[in-house]
Amino acid sequence: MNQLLLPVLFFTTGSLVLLWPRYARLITLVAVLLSGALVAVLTTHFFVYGPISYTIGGWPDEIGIELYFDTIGLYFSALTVVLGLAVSLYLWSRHMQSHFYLLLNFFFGSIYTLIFAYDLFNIFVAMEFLTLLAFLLIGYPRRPYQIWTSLKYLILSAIGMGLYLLGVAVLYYHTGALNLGIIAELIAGEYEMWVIVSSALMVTGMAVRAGIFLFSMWLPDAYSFSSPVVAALLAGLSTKMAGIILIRLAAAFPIDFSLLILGCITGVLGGLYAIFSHDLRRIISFSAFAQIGYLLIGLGGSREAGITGGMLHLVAHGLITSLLFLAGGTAIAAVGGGSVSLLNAKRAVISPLARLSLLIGLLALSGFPWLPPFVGRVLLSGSIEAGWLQAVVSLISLTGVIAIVRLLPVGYISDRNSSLFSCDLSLESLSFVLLLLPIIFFVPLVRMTGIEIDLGINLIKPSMILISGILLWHLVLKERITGTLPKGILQLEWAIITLVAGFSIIYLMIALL
Amino acid sequence: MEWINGVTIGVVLFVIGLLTLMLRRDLIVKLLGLGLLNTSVILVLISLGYYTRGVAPIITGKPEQIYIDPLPQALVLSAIVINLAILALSLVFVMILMERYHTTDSVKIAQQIEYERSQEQAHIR
Repeated sequence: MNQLLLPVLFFTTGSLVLLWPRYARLITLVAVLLSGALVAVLTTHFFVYGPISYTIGGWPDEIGIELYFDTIGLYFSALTVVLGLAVSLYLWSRHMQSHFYLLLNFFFGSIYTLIFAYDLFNIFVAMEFLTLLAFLLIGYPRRPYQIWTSLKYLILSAIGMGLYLLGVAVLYYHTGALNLGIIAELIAGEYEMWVIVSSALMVTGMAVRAGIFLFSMWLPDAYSFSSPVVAALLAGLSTKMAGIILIRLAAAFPIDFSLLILGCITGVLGGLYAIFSHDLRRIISFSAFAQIGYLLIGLGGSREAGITGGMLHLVAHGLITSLLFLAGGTAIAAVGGGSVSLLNAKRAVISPLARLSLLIGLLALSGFPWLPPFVGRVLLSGSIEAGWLQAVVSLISLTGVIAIVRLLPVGYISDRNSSLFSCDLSLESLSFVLLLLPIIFFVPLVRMTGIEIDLGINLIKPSMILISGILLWHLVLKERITGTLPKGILQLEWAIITLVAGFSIIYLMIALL
Repeated sequence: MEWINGVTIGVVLFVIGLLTLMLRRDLIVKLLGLGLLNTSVILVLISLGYYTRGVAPIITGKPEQIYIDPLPQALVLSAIVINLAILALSLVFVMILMERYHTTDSVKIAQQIEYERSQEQAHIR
């Protein structure tokens, strides 16, 4: 029942914002706190009784809308609460218009719908609603480049969701069901033509939203041109929802090998583009491609380890990118620009806590032991056996390290006149602390939910990669990486062409199997 | 001629919409292609739920009647509304771009925006 209450809560408070625009930020904060209480109730239920299923209106399972609360729901609703709190605190002293809060409330509502969604058509509707909200949020400051970016985003997403709906139509025609659990039972072990076609269509649709190279070429522009809060929400929640759906699809359809190939493509190309970027937000956006590569490779490697590890990896990456975008937004506003050289040169102007957040976020992104994405990677790499795949994963990690080495000087806190504890206690810094806490205590938190992680034996390889990446940068690459890779691929026409090419790759990979 | 049905026509229309989006530079034409693409999906969904000589899914009590599947029809309603919202909102954004750049050519708009961005970046440095 609470699964239903969470989206309804946010849609109601969104309407309340229209009614009392003056109290918009207070209403948003209260809504986030209330949702935290509801999630806490759900969590205690989950630990006592196990996964909770609720079908709206008591319809039969084949066509009724089921809302399902499992481990994925647990982790992502916790992430949404933390991010919601951080964002509403970050926005507190920036006087946004009330429409922004309206969009924000609706955004969280549709996120909760997607977290619990287990019905293919329900996923489609919530996803499209999320697209419209994200579209308005990206274009909110109404600069021409933001409007162009959000238009690109909308067109690409609409194509993707069209493909997804085609896949759902084929699937419904052959199975007569829309519930993922029932469909998974019906198609178990079948490799008919229609299974191949529909799964290829649905994976392509979700790939456009999830931030996979070739498919979501809207992503670098959308992450780097929108306002920091919107970038944090997009990176932390919106794309991760498509990631959840991919995890759920991977549990039901025979798409392992195609995900593996997609993971290699997105990981390597995203990593290369990240190395050749010279702007903080560009680097984070391209490394988001590389990070989703780990998820896909893990999912393709083995289902059991892939699902747990992939989920942890998504949550971890969501936490870190949103912290990086928020702290990066503060840093860029203080310095006046986002390029690496400018940030390094003027780092003394940035507030110490923002610098610390940037440092921890960047280290975590590079796979520093103990920090979050490392945990997901440990679980995911357990599922990889083939030698060439190990090599690809190491290559992706290496590019991740090289991409962020340039930015590490920003994090030096050794300047004499500014100590970490002398900074003023603004609400903005509170939001950084709120995001930093779960990042630092990620491992104990995960252990509390009953997932076993063995960190000891896995320390050697990541540390070697980290050290060799830093050495490689300082000894060899520092002077040589100056230009940029071709940007044409980010244009609308080419993005659509690569999308179609990506669809044919997925189709061939599933069919060949 | 059994192969000429809603599904094949829908797929052909989908491809036409996709090609329009890829090949035409005018943003308004692009959005028309997007509308075509989304509507063709609706055609496919409706046709898949249709049985030859089926009747409307209202129980009348007459024996041995084949009812058309009502679920796709219910689903399609929400899809239509979503498509409307997408087209309306994107047209508004095209209008804003058009007011500023006096063109709907996507390549020209992208070039202009790239140029403005580079000017802004140079100003910061």
